Amino acid sequence: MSGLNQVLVLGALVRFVVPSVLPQVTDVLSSIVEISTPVNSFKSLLEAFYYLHHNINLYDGGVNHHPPLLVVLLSLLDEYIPAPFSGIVFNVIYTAIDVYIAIVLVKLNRWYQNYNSTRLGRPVHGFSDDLIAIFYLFNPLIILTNLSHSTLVFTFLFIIESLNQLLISDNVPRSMIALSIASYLSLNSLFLVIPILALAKAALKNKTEKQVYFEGGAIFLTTSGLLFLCSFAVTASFDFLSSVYGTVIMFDKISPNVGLWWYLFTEMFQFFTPLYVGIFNIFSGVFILPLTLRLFEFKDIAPAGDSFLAVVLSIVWISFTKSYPTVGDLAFGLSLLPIFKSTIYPYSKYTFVYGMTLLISLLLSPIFYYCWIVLGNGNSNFFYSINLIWGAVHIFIISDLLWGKLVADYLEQNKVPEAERSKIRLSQI
Amino acid sequence: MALAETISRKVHKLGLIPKFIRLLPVISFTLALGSVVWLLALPLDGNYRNTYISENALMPSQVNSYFRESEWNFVRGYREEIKLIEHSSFNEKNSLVEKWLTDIGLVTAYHQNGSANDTLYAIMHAPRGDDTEAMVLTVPWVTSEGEYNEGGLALAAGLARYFSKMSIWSKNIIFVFPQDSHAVLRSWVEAYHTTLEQTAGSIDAAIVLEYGKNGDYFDYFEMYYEGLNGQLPNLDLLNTISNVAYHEGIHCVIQNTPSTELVRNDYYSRTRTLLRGILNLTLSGLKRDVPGCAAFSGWQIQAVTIRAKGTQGPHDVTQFGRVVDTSFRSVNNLLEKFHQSFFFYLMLSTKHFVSIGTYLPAAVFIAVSFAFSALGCLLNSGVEASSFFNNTGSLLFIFTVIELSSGVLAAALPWITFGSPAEYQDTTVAQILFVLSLLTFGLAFTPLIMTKTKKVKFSKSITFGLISLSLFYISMLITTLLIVNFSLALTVGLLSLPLTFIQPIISQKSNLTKSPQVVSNRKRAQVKVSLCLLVSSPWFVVFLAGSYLDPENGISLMRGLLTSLHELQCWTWYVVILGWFPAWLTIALSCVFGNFEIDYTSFVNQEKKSI
Repeated sequence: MSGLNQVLVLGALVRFVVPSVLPQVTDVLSSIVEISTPVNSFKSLLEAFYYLHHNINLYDGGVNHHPPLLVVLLSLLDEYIPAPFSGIVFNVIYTAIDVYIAIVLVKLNRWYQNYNSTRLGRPVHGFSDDLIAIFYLFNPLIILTNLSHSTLVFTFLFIIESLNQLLISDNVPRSMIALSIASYLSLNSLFLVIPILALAKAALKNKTEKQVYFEGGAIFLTTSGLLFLCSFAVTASFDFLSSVYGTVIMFDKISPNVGLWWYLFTEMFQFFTPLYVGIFNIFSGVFILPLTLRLFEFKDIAPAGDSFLAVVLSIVWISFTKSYPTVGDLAFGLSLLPIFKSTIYPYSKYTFVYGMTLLISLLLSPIFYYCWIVLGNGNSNFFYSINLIWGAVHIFIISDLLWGKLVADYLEQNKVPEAERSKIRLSQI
Repeated sequence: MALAETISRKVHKLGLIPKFIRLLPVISFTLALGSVVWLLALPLDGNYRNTYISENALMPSQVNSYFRESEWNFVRGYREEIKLIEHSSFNEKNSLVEKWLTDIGLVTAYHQNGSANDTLYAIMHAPRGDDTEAMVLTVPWVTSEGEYNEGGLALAAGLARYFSKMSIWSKNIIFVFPQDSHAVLRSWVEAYHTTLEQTAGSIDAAIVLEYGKNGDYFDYFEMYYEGLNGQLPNLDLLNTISNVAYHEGIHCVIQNTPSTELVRNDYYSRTRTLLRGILNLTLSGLKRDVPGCAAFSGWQIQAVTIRAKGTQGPHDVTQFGRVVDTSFRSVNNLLEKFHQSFFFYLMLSTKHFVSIGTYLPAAVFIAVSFAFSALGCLLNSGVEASSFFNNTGSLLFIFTVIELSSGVLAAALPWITFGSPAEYQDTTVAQILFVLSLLTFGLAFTPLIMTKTKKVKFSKSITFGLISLSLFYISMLITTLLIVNFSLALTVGLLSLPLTFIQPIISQKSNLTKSPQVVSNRKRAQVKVSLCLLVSSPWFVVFLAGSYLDPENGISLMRGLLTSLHELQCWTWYVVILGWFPAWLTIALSCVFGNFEIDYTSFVNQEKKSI
């Protein structure tokens, strides 16, 4: 068995055997605030199945925030498969999704190295296939997210499928359909339209701008419209709009998570709430376009720019500014980073610093939450302070990679010989 | 950014980074020293703060207590009765007290804990409250010093009678009479929050009363406040009690202050209180003579134990009752749970404290010291960085195996202890400690004996990688415990500090020179390594500290470690066996199987480069 297959099989075993042998793992993990939030928890999905089976409006009671089509499709499993086996089937589905994502990541890695080899005119070697798969499948945060059966996993699937369709199958329409489904599942993925269309323009040389931007945008909008209509058709009301998307935008369900939002809304006078809702929502989207433009692969500056990096940084940015983030969001961004091994990493210097910061914030976060909620000798400030460090990790990653990329571009454009590259120390560009 | 840029350019220009790397062991040790110095500087004037009541609603000592001479007669009467039944069966004791309490009109109930005698408790429902909050007065039948708690029981009965006549209570009052204030009380507290049928709402505060055979008079009283797992009661409760005592004219002391030094307040006395506080908090739950307040930990209950001292003194037994009465009246005033003031503090005396922001750097320094020595171990070992990366997989594998086997021990050793018959339990604990100590000595001194013939040998990168990983692991352990259990973090850090010396000793240049002294130098280095390993081993420390703390029964600390998890939910055992021990074991194993033959040529090249 090749190395990659071994990794895939082992990764699949962890994801399938653990929840099958110990079903309570899923329950426990889906109650941990760092791993699961009200908008993606498996528990509330099960609650939604119950509502559906008993002909109760899916969004009554404010428990369920999952989009209707997801609930309806998954409830079929719950309905037609007898009780002990439906759990196993869910385990199989979640395992399959993660393994599929790992396989696509391997393909994306190969594509990226080939693409950059042709662009830079010299061979670019990335990590081997099995390492790329290990970085995803054995990332503990990804494993925890998967074991908690968070519906975030479906969003990951469709984001990665969108990249897969675009870069491996060279198919913009299908890529946009996948991305539209991802945004339907988790609203913040919407922002990825911008960097992914830019990537489409860069990667598909034979397509005109009109074909990429207008057709792509139109297909995205049409698919989203169709998904909304289908949702309306299955629930016979537009309640889902406010419960699924309104909650994410307005932060209606105030509960602690690893993000930056919750603290301001628990500690703030109600009077200020609209102001902060506005600011946070603008903040979530406002850096996507500049990031995309800065890294856009314009013809006149070739081979500078890297639209794939723009997509990855946007994913990290979304994890930073989401209203209901989990550790899985950052972990997904992190597992895409090894792809840049030989293009950007040689020039980014702070991997060790943010690695340590990440580790310490992960260690302290549950402890501070325990001090606040269980022991009562801490308070919300404790937990939020770690959230801020967690946020700082995102910013570290984005600025470090961006700086690394700018340095790499400078060296390329000025044709600095290979031997001198390590000696040059740039302080501003 | 301009400043950062300038600094970074300067650093490069002066070549500070290679110097920094070479000096890492020194920096690491300086930081550890800094931690101790920081701690010892806390009791200096200006570094501590005076206590104050933060929650205004408490208003301590603002009420006039009527628990005076008229009640003294009742207390005396109860005490005579209790004296008579000292040697009766436990059921008779319980039923006597129960009769008194039901006569007063309290609701009584029993908690069957399955292992010891039933615990009697009584609830006085508040005349003015909404029946959702409660205060607890706990009176164990035996004090933590093993004395028959006759004064405490008589006082409790007298206080119950007195409380029931007052209409001002807005919180329920629960009286608990456990057999002891150790596991029995703990199981009552747990049952109260889970299974008991007769309950009286969430408990805000608890006072454990110990007044042994002191008779009618006592000299001063002592307050105990350490909870389990590093928890402390809200400082406001401590302040309330010491404030009440002050207004009653009674001396209130903490941390075993001797009776001759009740009013002493200088650097020495404050340091002694500080260090004893840290020691007691580290050992809380591990010792048998635990004051009952620890049993309330983990349920958001602020609990203290007060114990009367001396028999001559100027104060009479009703004054002790008045301390309880007035403190309860203060807690009764609260509209919210204790949330003001501090939960993380170190006391220097009843009137002085240091808060978390001031003392935390001491433990942070230790954590950083371990992190730096982990880094130094990688960078100064003379092994290429890439070979560490290539071995990451096997490093993690070895460490995981060691961690998993420690996990097996963590579950198995307490299981063996509880599995043995009660009368042989001490023997079992002694045997476990003996085996572990033997392991310690064996591993620590094997490198001395087998110098030439090693059959299994780790490669150099694995050896130093493992040492570095273990040091980093301890650093992370300290970081995680930093806030929740400062004392334990600091103690583990200081006690395992010799582990950071091992790599610098091994890599000393004297090991490589080809002079005639080489053999004796090597030998000396090996003896040093063995001593470092021995001193920093958890079992050596447990053995030594156990014998020092309890000279008659040296294994009591080990028994505390093995049983406290099950009996009290005190997780110090996990910190030792899953945190400290695997790190030590990994370093010991890499010293035994490690490859320390330092490549002379690479070292010389490195020297040249750095020059």
